[in-house]
Amino acid sequence: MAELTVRLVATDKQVYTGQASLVVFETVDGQMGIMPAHSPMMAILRDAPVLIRTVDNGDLYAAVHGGFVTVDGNTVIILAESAELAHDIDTDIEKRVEAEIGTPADDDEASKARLKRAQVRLSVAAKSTTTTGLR
Amino acid sequence: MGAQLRVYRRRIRSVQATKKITKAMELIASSRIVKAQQASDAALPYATELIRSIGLAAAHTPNINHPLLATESTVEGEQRAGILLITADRGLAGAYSTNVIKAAERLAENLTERGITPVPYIVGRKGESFYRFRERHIEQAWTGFSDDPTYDDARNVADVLIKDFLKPDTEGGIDEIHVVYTHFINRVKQDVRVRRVLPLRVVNVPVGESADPITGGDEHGGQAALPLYDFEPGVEAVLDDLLPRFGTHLVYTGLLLSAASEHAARQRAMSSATENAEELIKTLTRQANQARQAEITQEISEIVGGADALASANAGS
Repeated sequence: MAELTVRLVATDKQVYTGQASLVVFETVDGQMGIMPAHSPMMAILRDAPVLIRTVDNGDLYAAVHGGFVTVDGNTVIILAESAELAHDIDTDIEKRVEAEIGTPADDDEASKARLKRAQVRLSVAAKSTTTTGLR
Repeated sequence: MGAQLRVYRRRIRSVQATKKITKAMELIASSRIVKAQQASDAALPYATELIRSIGLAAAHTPNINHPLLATESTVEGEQRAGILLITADRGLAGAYSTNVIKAAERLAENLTERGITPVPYIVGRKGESFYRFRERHIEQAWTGFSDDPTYDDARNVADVLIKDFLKPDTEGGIDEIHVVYTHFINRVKQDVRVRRVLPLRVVNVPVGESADPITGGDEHGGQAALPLYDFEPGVEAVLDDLLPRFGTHLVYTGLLLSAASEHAARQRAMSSATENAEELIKTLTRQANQARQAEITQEISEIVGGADALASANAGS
C-alpha cells in the first residue's frame, strides 16, 4: 500500500520526516484524517495535537502551533511556527507555565496564547504516555 | 628602579590584561558564528515550503488582490516608507552597526528625493542610540535580541510592521517596508543589503498550465502543471494566513543573518585588537629595555664620575 511521506517543519528546525499511514490534525473547520492518495489540499490548523501514525514506530503525537498543512499526492507537509514531538516536551516546564498564568484576563492575548500552548503540549505529552507501542 | 621603567612595566601589564580579554571575546564570537549559521540554515526548510505553498495558493486565485501584495495602482497623497534597521545591541564589532546605519541613511535620502517620507523602525541598541543622539524620530525600536534572535522576536517586529502597513494612509499607515540588514556570506565576507519586504510580489502561474519551474520572481518560484487543490477554509483565508507569515519569515531571516554577521564582525574586530595588543606589548617591551639600559648606563657614569671626582680631590690635597 502506498505510504504518506510526512514532513513536520517548524520555523527553526525540521521536527520530523518519515513514512506514515495516517495523519490526523485539526483544521479551523474541524478534525481531519489524511490517508494515502488523498486529493491535494491546503488547510490552516488550529493550535492542537497532531497524530502521525508511522509505518514502523506506532503513533507519534506532536504539539503544533500556528500550523498550516499542504497535502499533495502522498506528501503531507505541516508548516508550523512552533512544533514539538511528545518526547521533546518538558511537562514540568509546561505545568509551571500553566500554574503561573492561572486564568488570564479577557484582554490579555499574550498570556492566553501562552496558556493555550502549554495546555496543548501537556495534552500531547499525556497522550503519548497512555498510548502503547511508543518510546 | 627608575620612574620611567616603572611606567613602561605598568603599561605592559595593562595591555597584557586587555589582550586576554580581547582574545577571549574573539573565541566566544567565533564559536557563536557557528551557532548563528546553524540557526539560519535550520530556518531554510520552512522558507522553502512556505514559498511553495504561497505559490500554489496564489496560483488558485485568478485575480489576486490582497492588501499585502503589490498593486498596480499608485497611492494618492503622502507616501511613507518604513525602514527596518537591524543593528547590534553591543559595540566592539568594528564597523558592523555603522555600515547598516550608513546604508539606511542612503536609502532614506534616496526615498526623500523621490518624495517619500522614511519612517525608521530599529532593532538593536546601537541603531537606537544613533537616532536618539541626533534627536530624530523613531517609530519603534526593539532591543535585547540582536545576537540571538528567536522566531517570537521576529514576530513581534513583523506584527507591528504589518499592522502599520495595513493602516490607511490617513492614520499614518506606511506604503512600503524595506529591511536593511547584513547578509552573511561567510566568515570573512558580509554585505549590507536592502530588501523590500512589503508589499510582497507574487509571480502568478495559471493552474493546469505547465510553467517554467525556475521563473525568476523576487521570492516566488513557479510551479509546473498544478493539480487542483482544496482549501480549508477557503483560498482567500489561506492566503490571508500565509502572506503575513512570509513577511514574518523575511524579518526572521534578516535577523538571523544579521546575528551571524554581527558575530563575524565582532570576531574580526577582536582578532585585530588582539594583534594590536601584541604589537603594542612588543614596542613597550623594547622601550622598557631601553629605559633599563639607560638607567644602568647612567648609574655607571655616576659611579665613574664620582670616582673621578674623588681621585682628583685626593690628587689636589
